[in-house]
Amino acid sequence: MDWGRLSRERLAMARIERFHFSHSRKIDSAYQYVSEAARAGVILQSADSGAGRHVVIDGRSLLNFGSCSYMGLQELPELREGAHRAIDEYGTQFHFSRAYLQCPLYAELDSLLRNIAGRPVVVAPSTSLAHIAALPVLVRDGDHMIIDQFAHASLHTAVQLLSKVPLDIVRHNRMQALEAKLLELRNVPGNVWYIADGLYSMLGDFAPFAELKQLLDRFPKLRLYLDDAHSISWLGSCGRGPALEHFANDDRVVVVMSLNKAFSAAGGALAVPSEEIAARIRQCGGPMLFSGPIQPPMLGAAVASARLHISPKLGLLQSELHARLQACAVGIRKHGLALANDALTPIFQVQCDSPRIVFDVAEQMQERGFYCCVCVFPAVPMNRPGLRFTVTRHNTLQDIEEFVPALAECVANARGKRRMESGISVAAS
Amino acid sequence: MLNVGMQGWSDTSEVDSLMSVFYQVISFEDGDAPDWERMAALFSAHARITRITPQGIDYLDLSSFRLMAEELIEVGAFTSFFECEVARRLDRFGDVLHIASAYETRVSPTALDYVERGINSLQLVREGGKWKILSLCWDTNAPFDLHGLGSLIAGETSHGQN
Repeated sequence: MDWGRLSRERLAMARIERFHFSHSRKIDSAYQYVSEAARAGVILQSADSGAGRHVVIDGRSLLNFGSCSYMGLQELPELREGAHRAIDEYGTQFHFSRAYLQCPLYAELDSLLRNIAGRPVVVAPSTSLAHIAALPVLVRDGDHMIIDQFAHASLHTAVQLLSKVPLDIVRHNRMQALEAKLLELRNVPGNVWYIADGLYSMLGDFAPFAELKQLLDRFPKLRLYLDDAHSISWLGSCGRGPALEHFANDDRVVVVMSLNKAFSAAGGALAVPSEEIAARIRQCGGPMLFSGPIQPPMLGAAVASARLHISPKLGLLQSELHARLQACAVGIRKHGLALANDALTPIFQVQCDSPRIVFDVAEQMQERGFYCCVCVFPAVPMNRPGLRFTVTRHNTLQDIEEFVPALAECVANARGKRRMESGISVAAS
Repeated sequence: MLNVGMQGWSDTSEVDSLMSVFYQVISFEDGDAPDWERMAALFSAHARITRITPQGIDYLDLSSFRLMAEELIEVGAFTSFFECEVARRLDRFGDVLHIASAYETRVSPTALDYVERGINSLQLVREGGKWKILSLCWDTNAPFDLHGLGSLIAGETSHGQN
């Protein structure tokens, strides 16, 4: 087709008949890919036991390099005791809707989290429900939304609730593309929300905070909504994460914290610029009124974890993790493994040439006694398959010293096998 | 690359060039996009593109194919794309040319393993003295193995060529 000869009418028609994969098509396609990985035995596995340094799968104890509990707090006596005390006092469930009555532990948690975040906080049953509660309240008529293509699935789900608000997707962390979009939207009547992760859970890279700050300075209508779930606890003052380190005093930024993962309890928390915004979300955000609350055992654990976050002990624990991250990074460089990016975070992704190589490496690592995770489409783009592993305080320095060379060997083995098969195929053809 | 059926034709190099450009223009580096203008130049204005998947069949023209590809890129299904031809069989019937073109998709041009393999079925017609693609059709899930390429390239292939 000669694009230069397309009539204006046909171009308009093309826009009207814009191709869209149907909802069912997307689900069916996701089911196909996820089923394939499940059949390969590399996802949707059940652990027999294990929560810390080891995880037991199919009766085998493996060193755990797949945990999101980066700080390993769930094994600390303070958190266990917090959960036990809450059960003793309130039972396993506080049996009221939060619209009417909330467990007293909520007020204590809220107060502690305000100290951590340095701004008003709204506690939600999970980070996903925090997005579903907050975005419809924050985004107003006349606003526009822009979302990073690799923002967490829960954010993509939440923006779909705002079907009447225009939405653009920009390529991952491309600030030039975001800037171009902001220039294009300078005359929208309302605000322009950029929705992204603080730390991306699959590739392990940060949002470009410094560049986002510059864009905030240049574009008065820009608002940021950042899900920093994977950075909480292990990074920043009181473990508040890099997004709040950069934007705690900016009244145009909302940051979402996770009380799971490194925080080792349950729930999510919206760190918002004002009491008024906090009140609006608490009073109008659907799941804040109509979904189940965080139940007493996990509220007790969250309160204990929050207390730990504002104690001097957190800094020591963060230093222990950082020593492990440094050791891993040194090992990675020494063994020449190709990472998806250079950011020093607990999330590492070793890039591979194909899902076959990824599955092969994961299986070999399990045979050698290490648990790590596969990272294939639809969790990452089709052209970015990789092996994802995490380094946590559970892992000893000795564990890391054994893990990295084993991984390098398994990657080399898998690549060697594919090279040989490829050579055989070409010869046969 | 295996290439059967072109011996003795005067426009071999034209078809070679067309297929080479065909795979070049749909490939793109991270952050880039397919070269839609060069792709359009390869196709007849009446061309159809048909993609068969386990979830259904996409009946497209170049315009809707572009929109489909842009949606896949926008949502991050691909951030780059590299496809190359590994074998080809041609059947010519006068001004009609059928090409079975075996391809491999890789994460980069230097990747040692492929992500997907398949066969593009192309029908070309002679338009204004040039070969143009009238139909491109492929089944994303068709079983395919390089060992089976013998059947792809077997058989003689030209009938009534100039």
